[in-house]
Amino acid sequence: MAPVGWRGPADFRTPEMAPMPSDLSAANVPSAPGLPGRSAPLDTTLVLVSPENIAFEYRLAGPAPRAVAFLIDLMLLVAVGGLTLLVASVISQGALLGFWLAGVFFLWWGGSAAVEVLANGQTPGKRALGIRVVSQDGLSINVSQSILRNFLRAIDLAPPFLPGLVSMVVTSRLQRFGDLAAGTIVVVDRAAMAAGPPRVDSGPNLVADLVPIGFTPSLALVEALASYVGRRRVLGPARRQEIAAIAGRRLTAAWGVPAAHDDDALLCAVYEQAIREPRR
Amino acid sequence: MTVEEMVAAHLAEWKELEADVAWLRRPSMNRRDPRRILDFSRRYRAACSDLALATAQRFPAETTGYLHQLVADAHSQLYRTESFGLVDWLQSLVLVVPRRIVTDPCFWIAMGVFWGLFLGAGAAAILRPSYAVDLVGAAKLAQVEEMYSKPPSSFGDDAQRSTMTGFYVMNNAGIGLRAFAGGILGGVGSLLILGSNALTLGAIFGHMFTSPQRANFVEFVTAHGPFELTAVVLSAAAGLRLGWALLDTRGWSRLESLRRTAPEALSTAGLATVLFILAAFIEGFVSPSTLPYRTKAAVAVGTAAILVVYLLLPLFMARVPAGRDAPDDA
Repeated sequence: MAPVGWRGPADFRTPEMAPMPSDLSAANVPSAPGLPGRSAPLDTTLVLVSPENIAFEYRLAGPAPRAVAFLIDLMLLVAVGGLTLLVASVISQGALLGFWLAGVFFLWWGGSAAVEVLANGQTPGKRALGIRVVSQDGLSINVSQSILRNFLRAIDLAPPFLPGLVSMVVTSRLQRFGDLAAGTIVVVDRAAMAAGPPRVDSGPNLVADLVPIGFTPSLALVEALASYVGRRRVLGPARRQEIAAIAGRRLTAAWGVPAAHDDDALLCAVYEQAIREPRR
Repeated sequence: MTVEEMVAAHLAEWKELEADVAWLRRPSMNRRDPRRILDFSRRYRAACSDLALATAQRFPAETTGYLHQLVADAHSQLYRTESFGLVDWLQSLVLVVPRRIVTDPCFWIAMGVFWGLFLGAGAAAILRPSYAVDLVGAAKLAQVEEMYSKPPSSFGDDAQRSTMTGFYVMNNAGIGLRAFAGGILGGVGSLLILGSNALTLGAIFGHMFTSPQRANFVEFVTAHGPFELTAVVLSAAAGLRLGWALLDTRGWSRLESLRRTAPEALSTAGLATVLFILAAFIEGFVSPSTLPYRTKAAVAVGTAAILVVYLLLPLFMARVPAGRDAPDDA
């Protein structure tokens, strides 16, 4: 599979490595590969093409959740270290201290790597934050990648500049040095998302009869309406009207009817009709 | 078919696929049954075509987003590569890694830098007593002299020896791994750590050679010297390899060159870590023991011979079949 969602020097691959499907190559789909008619997202998404000729997206995780995940892992490490030190000093009066020191060494340098390999790219901190390490070609990480990125954490955390943070900010896939060397990315896990189309959860729609019978919105409009309906629940009433008016006024003008007093409800009505409309 | 009907018709299959992915992600492989894996790959391909349909038909972002996540998760499980075989790994460690190290200029550069600075600083400390004081500091030198004012065999009981072994693992192998990691800054970090360690060690060696504690010092450092000093050099060599990959890209982009070289460098750093751990055990239990100096010297000669044979012998053996020593394409 060939990553095609970003442009940059890292894109270079040999032909035998990348059996790129000819009909999905970047040259044939000018906007965003695999997403016909959609402009390339101005976003932290990464588009990959699978051998099944399907382009799928990963959402990249930024420095903030990754820093929090790291702090959680660090606190766990300190807790484990403290508890074991307590136990070791109680039962053996210092004879086990050598094992403890060596154990701390292995935990610090290899603990995350071991957990990441066993738990599919997630340390406890990453699990808590809903993020995951995957290889930059979309596969699960392997042992060597995991060890590599955790060894190089030493340089990513080096004071005073935190080179890893700088690297995350300047690379297009938000990679720290360990990620660059290992060829890994950290992505957002959205396992909890709902599959169905968003629903309008308000009461009876009073402006629904403004919509002319037989009006069929374009697919682009339906898509825009769907993302509006999906997000309107986090907007206040005034802001809803302000945003909805942009499309609502145009619709009523095109239909030759007076402007609706509730543009938000108008858009919801158009949307409700559209998702019941059969797709060709 | 409306969006709602389409989602309702496929939702059960999608949830099945989600469950399959969760099942495959579980580390215990022994519960796998082939029929479910067949079902999983069929559901994955179905989800792929559902996603294609959903994007072409401009389904709501919720639905396409869900399908993107589902396909991505399933894809990472279907095409996962877990090629960690113990036999391959051991063969690589015995045949491929040493050949790669000795044919790598980075190793010889690290050797030259370390031994050049080490011997230079040692000679300077012997010739001019104030040199070691300026470089290492009077307090640190006094501490070292105090430590070797007694014979090494009086360095504490078994519990303290095991504690010191653990400390050597943590401290020395940690320095080695930092030297490796520092290499990603164009090799500069590795050279700095290697150089400063070579200078400090050289100055202390030179100073102790001219001090009255000389016999105790030599008796202590002999046994673990070969493994520990070689491990320092190997760590820095691994770091230099990382940094060099950024400069000499062999036709790849810089990042791609780094990514392809990193597994090779990692195996060298791993070897260095193993040597550090072995050296820590020798330093913890052999160097301070009551064994006669002749035995400790024999340990040093033996470990040095092991290193020479390990590193040089593969050069005279038949080459591994092509492809085996190709860089692990992670």
